[in-house]
Amino acid sequence: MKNKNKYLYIFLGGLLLLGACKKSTLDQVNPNQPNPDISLETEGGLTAYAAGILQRTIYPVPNEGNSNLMAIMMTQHSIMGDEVFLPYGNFSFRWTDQVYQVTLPGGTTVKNPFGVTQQVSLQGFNSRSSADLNAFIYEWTMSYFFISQANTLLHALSTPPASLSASKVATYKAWAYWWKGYSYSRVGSMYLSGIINNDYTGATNGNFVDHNAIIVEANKAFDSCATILQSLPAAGDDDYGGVMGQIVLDFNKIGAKGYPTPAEWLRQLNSYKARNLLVNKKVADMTPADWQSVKDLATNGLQLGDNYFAFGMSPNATNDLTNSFLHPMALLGPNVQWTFLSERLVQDFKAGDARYTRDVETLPVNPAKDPYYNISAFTNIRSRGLQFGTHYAAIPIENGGDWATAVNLGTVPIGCSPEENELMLAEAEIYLGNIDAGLAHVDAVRNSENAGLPAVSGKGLTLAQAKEELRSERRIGLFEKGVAFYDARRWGVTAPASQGGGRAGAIVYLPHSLINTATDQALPCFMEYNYMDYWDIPQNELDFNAPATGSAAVKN
Amino acid sequence: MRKCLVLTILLTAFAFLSRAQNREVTGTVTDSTGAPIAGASINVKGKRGGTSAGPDGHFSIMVPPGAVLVVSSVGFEPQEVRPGSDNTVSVRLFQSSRALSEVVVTGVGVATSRKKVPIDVGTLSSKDVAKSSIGSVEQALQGKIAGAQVQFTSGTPGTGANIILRGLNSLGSSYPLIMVDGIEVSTLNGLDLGTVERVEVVKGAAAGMLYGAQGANGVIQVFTKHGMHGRKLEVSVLSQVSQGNILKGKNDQLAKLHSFVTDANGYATQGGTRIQPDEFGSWPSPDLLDPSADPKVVQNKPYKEQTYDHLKQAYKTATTVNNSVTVTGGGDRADYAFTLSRYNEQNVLSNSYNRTSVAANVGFMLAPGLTFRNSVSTIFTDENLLSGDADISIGGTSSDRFGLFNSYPFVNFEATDNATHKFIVVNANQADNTVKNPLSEKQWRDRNLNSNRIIENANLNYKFPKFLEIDYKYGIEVWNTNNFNFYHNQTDAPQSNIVFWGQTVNGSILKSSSKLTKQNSLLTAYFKTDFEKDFHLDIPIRTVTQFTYDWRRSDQDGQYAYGTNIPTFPPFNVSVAQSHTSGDGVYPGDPLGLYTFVTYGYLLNQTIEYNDLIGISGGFRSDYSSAFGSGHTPFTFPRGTIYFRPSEVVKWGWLPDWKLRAAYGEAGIQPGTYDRQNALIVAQLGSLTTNSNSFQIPNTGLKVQQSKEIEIGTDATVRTGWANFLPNFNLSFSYWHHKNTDVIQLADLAASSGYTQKLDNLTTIDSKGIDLSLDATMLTVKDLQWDFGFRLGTSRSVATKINNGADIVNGIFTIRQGKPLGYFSYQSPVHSLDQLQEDGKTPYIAPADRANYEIVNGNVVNKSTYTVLMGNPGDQKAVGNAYPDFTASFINTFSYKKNLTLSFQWDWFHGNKIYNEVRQWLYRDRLSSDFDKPVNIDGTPGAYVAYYASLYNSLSPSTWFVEDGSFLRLRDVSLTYNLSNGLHLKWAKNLSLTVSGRNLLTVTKYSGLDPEATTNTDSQGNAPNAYSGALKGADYFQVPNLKSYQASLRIGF
Repeated sequence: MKNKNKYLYIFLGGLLLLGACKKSTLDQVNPNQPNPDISLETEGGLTAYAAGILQRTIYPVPNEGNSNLMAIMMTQHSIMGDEVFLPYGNFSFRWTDQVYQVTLPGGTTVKNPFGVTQQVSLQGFNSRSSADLNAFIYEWTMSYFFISQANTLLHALSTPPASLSASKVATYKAWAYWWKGYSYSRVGSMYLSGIINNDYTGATNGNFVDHNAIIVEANKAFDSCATILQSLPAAGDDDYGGVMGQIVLDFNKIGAKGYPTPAEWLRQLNSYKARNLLVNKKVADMTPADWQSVKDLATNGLQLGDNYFAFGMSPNATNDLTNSFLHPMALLGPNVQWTFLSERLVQDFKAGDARYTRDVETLPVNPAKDPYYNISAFTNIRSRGLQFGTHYAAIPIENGGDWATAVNLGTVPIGCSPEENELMLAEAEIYLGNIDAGLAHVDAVRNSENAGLPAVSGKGLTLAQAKEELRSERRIGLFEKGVAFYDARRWGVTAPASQGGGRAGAIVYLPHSLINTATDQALPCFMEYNYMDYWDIPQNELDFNAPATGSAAVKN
Repeated sequence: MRKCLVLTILLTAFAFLSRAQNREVTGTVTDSTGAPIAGASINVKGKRGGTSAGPDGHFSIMVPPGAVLVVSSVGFEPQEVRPGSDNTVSVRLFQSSRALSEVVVTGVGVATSRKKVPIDVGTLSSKDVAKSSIGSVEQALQGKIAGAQVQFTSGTPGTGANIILRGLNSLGSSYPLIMVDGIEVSTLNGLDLGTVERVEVVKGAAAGMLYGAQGANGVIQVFTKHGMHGRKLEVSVLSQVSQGNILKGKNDQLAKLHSFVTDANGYATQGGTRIQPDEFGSWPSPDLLDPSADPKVVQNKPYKEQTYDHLKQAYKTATTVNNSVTVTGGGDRADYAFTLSRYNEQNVLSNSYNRTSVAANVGFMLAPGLTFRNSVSTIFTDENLLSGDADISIGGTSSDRFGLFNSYPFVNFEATDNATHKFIVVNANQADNTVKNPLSEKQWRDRNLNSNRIIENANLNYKFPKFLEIDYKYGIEVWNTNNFNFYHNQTDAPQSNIVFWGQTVNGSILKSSSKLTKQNSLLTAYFKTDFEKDFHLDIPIRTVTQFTYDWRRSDQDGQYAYGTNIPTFPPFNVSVAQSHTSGDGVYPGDPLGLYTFVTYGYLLNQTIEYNDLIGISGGFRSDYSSAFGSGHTPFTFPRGTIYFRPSEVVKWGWLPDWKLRAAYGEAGIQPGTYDRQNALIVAQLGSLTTNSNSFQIPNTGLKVQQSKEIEIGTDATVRTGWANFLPNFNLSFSYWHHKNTDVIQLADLAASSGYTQKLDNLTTIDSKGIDLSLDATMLTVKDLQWDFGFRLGTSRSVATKINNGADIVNGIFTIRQGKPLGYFSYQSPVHSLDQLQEDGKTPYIAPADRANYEIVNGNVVNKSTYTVLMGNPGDQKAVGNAYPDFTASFINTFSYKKNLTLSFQWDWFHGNKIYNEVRQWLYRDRLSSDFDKPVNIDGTPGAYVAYYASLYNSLSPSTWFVEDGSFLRLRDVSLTYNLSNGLHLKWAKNLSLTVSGRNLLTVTKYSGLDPEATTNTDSQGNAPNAYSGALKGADYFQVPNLKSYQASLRIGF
């Protein structure tokens, strides 16, 4: 007996002493995720964090799950610019893309199925409970996520690790200011007003300022970025390259090096400042001084062949930001088929454009089917609106095209592209009266995109003809390059017809049942888009950040 | 450390048992009719060992002088008798439907007779299990415990049940704490029913406090089978086979008619030409008659094309086979029980789930008073089920069987192409060009998941001769899982340019393994006194002091390897993939790949009883947790109970037992193990591992959420004295009220802060309800007995306070201050011509326009467009609650001559609503059967497309799709014939044959397949991450439960 007691003792006592009572076991540190208080004090942590800013585009959109905010935002711009259309309700695309009415060749007017304007629809969904149908949340949320991460990065760099070279500190800082400038540009070019928030702690403020003031803030950030970049050698140094080679993510790399040199980056900043001016004023309101400013900025802007920041995909569908689905080129591709080539885009090709042959194919009529997309031409899909029909498709990149993919190829610019800069120069020159100088830039873009079109510069085009060359080239040459909606807005296309808006001669692929013909027909109509100019602030923000006294308007 | 020392000191006093002079007592045990009760147990009160009555009811036993005998048998109320001087006794036992002699452990710390349990403990013993339940403890519990909602929300094999005990305490998981033989384990799912002796369910914090900061959702404790000292070897064999088909409901969900543009022969056309399938079986999309051009378009055309029943093509009859052998017995100083079982369940879609369980429970009496018990269960599971795009490792979300519904009926899922003879990954519908044929998945995907789960539990117990009992338990659960998920390279597959399975057409392989370890160490000292016996005082007071030190630790570890771009020829493994990655966790981006959680604390509880008349207890529990680090002060939760038994005072014959009871307790729900730490998201982007802020701002100040419960109840046994009809019944009633404060809420933030959410203690949830159990012997006529059981549970959980009063919005779900959880409040069709908008001033229809509108099916319809006028998105109308007002069960058992038993159980859920997302999706393509139903607009009846299409609301939630989900379901019906009694078999103690059915009949108004197969996913199949408990009731393409038939054979010898 005695022995047994002893064993019992030892057994129980031993177990207790095994550390069960050790308080230190309560200090469990998250083994999966780094603590920023520690990681941002190291160079590796700064690199990981700087590169990770694009991970902020991945967001669990209510009712949709993890989505890419940037791809959604780019798609919103593309569909409102009517370069593509998207007939599905997800992310509110269907309402964002809801043309107010179409006047048929015979004069019959067909309203959209809701019978209201885009503004009425989108404002109706401006609530948190509308979840993904609140179109206003995407660009807003993405922009402030970027700003917040950039603020944290700048805060960490205010006391950088001692081992970090000045070049590296400068590179990280330039990166942070670039994203701030980009984000404020996005907010200022899309929303009625915005918040200037340079806080890194997660605080915000209720001082909504007018969108022009947000653009000022954007340009300020670009200037800070420029000042820093100017401290670096124009071609960069090893430290610069070491950092940029990493923080520009593999699948976003374009060009030989994959990232811009400081000189190229500086030119990107100028281009973006030019865009900020150009796209936030109606073309009718542009003064010669405005045009001169655009010209001055764009003259120091991106040059054809420059590296710029881009958004791409990983061909093996892993470790990129698209979920193999949310990228403008994948959305347009055969495997997703969310966006479709707009008839109004295809009609803007000039005859003989090699890009047409390369990129556009005609969808056959049922029962024949397209080999890439496995569909026939279609009209008024699910009776959702006449704009939702086409008899064109984009030839996938893997089959020789430039615009769409099923296998994760291709990139789209995040900011400005060199082609956009050329066309800003072209536009400024044309409006300043230098028609041929302007058209030379149009020709340059066509050449760079292998359009195979004869030069228009020096051919004695009238001002109107020059503007049309410019217009069509901005449509085709800058397809998927982020300017379609800005252009439609500043050219007055999206304004209500009563204010001179709309597009005459807009080709619509019409159902035969509607026009009493044997087959479906692509016919010129009058299309009244009637879209909002600048969007309301999402209610998701206002529910928790009421505008302070003296704030700018937050709703149309 | 000091605490530990005190505990070890408690182990010091040892002594010996005394022995006394014995005599032999003989007797008989009979039932109320005088028939002998074979196998009745006879024990000396307060002593171990005992004997059992023979087939003629006779027994003999050695007893010490003055001893009291306790005679008991299953199904009878036990009796205590004092043998007379002639050393013979004759005992007549009365049948009871719910033995009050039962001893419960859970929630009371020390084994306590049910008569004196001050809380409501639900119990289920193995003999009460519905015969149609196969293999699963959760199935066995369904409907058996008042106030315990146990529901299967999917018919997919291996799916665990959704369990809610007494309403909701948090916005997160409602899953209770699961214990096996006193030790915490991770889940009830997968435990084999064959190893289970009984289950105890404690539903609220008033009792759950014994289990610390994890106990707020209640506790379910499983006791495994064990042998008994001095029992001969017994072998029992159970063999079950079941065949099931999915529940389809009685309503046809799919339209039989269409409204396509057709040619002269009535065939659907596109662009004026008849549509035909291509060589791959995929169809162009037919043109739809456009109601915006002609509002009078109706859906009335029969399909000229051949149509197919997609559910029939996909869902097959599934067979389940379960076999188990249990061996029990015991010697002088040891007892043993071994169970071996094999369970194989086919899935209605494809493939199967298999489980092999081996359990051993052995006990040894090492010395008088010193016992050691060890039980170990090893559970091997192996399944190769396919899950559609639900695989989280490829970014999928829900078990999406979308294509089965949302495909035009002329699509033939069983079509194969001539070249490959494989099912085509068909584009079922042009507008959803990438919808896949669910039948083709198995051609292009292989997966399996196998796991080894070991639950080991060692228990050393020493009962000192007096006063002190020391009990030590150590349990460890080790769960290793291996996962293999292979999407073939489909570049050569037909249509691979359009659709393919997996994330990339080039194929991928994910291999992962994970290990979960859960340890629980419990040292308990009981100090018991009996003033009469121990101190020879004439005061009938007994006391129990319990001190427990409780330590728990969970660790999880996992690794994955992921390869993409797989060759088209074997072998198929990660190494041959063109690119591969690896990492912690079980899939790329697994947020909690590694974790460790440690908690420890102690509890002190004091019980004082005066006779059997009154008892009070009080105590507290104090816990430390690694969610808060070493610096924090422990959370301390008090408890107290009281019972009073008036039946001890007033001796009414008709009320032999009556107890009043009340209990109060507090418990906590801790935040996630790393929720309080500042952390960055890690993401592999390209070849770089990146960090970024989460959209959730870390909250280092997060607190434990608190649950306070009051429970008041009564238990009574009523003996009517009537001979045949309702001779007796037991009633148990409890009222409970939980108040949950500091409930963790994922609060929305303004995005301009850089974050959109924050975990914070901002919500208060108030839950209350009643639980009622009634067990009665309804009728005893000669050889026939009818027993009846009724269970009722009501609950309502209201979010009484939310941060800012602002709604918690998550996808389609909203939690609103002052409203119950599970509340549906959506945009709604306008219901009256003078209805005002949400501003309360502006009418939806100007008075002058009202003539243009009329009411159709309760909806305001425009007489010129035939469309329903939808209210504004912001004008939300409440339409009920996903949680039932009450759940009830009716359990009937008829036995004839004890040989033939017929039992059936009805389960009733009342008042719950379901948001039928499937129906809303079907509205998109006019595929819902609603479109076939004519309505009367502007004086003319017709199945107007404009009317129904305007209700679709583009998947935005609408009250139109919220339906009554109440149902009454015949959960179990079974007929058992006991051959051993009937045939007087010598070689078998027991031989019975059962035929049974499960879910055979459902009475419901719900239009979907199965009102139980609901989930918390939105219309895109995303489940909200933070509110799994509070959000519920969406029907989103779940695999429905099965209607099944079983045959089972039990042999005991």
